[in-house]
Amino acid sequence: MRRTIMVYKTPGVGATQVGNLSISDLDVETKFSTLFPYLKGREDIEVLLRYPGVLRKKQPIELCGFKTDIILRRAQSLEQILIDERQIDIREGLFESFAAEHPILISFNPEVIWFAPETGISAFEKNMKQILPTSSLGFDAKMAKEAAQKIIALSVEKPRTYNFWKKLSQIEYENETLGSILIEYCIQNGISSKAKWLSGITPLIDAKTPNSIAISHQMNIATATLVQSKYDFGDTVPAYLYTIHLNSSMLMPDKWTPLLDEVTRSIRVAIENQELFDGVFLSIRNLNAISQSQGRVNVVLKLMKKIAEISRVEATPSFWSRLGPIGLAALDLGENYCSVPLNLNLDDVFQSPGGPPEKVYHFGKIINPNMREKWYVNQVQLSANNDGRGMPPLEKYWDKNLPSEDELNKPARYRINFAKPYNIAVFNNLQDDWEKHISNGEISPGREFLQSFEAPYSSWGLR
Amino acid sequence: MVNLNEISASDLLGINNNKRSERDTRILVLSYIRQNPDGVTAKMAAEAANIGERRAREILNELCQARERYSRKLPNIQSYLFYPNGRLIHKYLQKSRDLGSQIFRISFHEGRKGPRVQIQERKFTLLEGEKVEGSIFVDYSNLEAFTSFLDEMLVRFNQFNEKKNRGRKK
Repeated sequence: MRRTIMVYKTPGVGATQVGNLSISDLDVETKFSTLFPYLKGREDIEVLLRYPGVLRKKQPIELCGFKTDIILRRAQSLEQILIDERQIDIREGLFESFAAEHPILISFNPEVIWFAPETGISAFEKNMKQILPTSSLGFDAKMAKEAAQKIIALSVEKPRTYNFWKKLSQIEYENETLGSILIEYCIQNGISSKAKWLSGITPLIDAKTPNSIAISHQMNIATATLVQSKYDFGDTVPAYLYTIHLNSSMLMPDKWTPLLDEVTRSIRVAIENQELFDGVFLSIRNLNAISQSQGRVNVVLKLMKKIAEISRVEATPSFWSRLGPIGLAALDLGENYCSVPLNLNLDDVFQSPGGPPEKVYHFGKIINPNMREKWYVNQVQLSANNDGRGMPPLEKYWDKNLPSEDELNKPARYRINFAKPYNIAVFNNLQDDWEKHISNGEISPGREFLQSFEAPYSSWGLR
Repeated sequence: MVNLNEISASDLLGINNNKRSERDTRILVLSYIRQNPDGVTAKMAAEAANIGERRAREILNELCQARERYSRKLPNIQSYLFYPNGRLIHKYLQKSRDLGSQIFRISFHEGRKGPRVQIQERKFTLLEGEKVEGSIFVDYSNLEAFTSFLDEMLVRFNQFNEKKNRGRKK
């Protein structure tokens, strides 16, 4: 049974939609359309728990599902630290109050099963061992470990193929298919994290394997069915979103392929005919590469228009994962929720180990909203040295525009106490501006802003 | 090897090949206990539902937590016996509320004689999620009297506290 109610503010401007969304049994009351932060690990949750003022009221949060154990443990350990540091009284639990204020969406990055990066696989295995014993499968720690090992062995067997998905229904552990164990893990992950929305563990859809659309659809149906049965049984379960992960191969320059038609058709069928889904969740892999080709950008923009149309007709929300600045263009086109990684990186969350050894890269990037560029720490340092002004001061949410000496020497402190909160605050100021422009009747203020954004994101601006 | 487009949601959940969904298994265990009001052990339920004994115990404990079953340890029997807990139909009008660190979930059930209200106390831990701590049922016809009773006890508690504080001051 669909639990989401969307109340649209009228009249809308162009394709843009704004209004309020509620899910009464989960106490969700939040605005759409909006940008919202994506949290990939312990450092990101620390930023938001330390500096909750960078967020808008009731703003949703997206958490990386493969790292929920790490994120929740960090929240737990931070609770005492913050009580000691600030002498504050936290009666309800730090994370619990945070989750009550900011509805949480759990998502699972497709690259973990697609090419089995070492970091992703290790996080996945640890997370499963933690989550499975709390699921209704009734596994103890030993059984959870064995089940997790079976799923991991399958993930690493033949990367970049659909071997994993083919064998999910054929291999069993304790009379359960690995498919049902994986789905139980996915749902329990959402329940344990107090999530309000859940996206599924579904395959990355690749142009070379057209049938990947079919197996993605079946995984969605299977997950939604189990969510529904738990809901019917009286459990508190997150609202399930029809999940689509597209590989960049699906997006050819200026070519709307029959496969994209099939993807949109499967979304339409799911949202129209099934009472099982409370919205649609999409992610596209390699957005940086796509942004470098105007032809491919055009195809994604067309896809966004089509998804927005389905979601508006059916009054169900659309969520786009890890769009970064591109989210502004998506909001213009009528998408409802677009997440922004705190470090602004749109590449895969889990990558092969290693990275540039130069210290400057360890500080990450910070967005300069006036220059419309992403800056390295040395640029921030230069601006502070030259005119003492540092980064542009922000109107709301965050008042620090210069990092301290200590932060400039320690990358983690710089990221936690300066760059990441500043990045969220920039996007929330942009969101406020976007809403102001929309209420003034302007069309496409997001894409107008992106017109003069640094390459390759300028390709998402108005032409 | 099977083709991707031949795999169904039922295959993924393992419902085919004479297997059941988790929900069906729970329903089977529930109905088996209903048919045996004198009580069943986990082993008996496991055999009836064709599942492992450990899994059966897990389901039975969950049902006890939800107050759909209750269990009792008898002196001369090593295992617990599980009994039906009255006929409960599906919940409706369910709502949860976090009151500080306590979570309460109130729902309505259709009992034999009329509607009943279930009040569950639930607990949330970061790593285990939300679990039922315990619950009570109040017949709808007694609900008003029950809330008055609560009010009365609150007044009595406040009076008791006042007296206690006055005693301390003296």
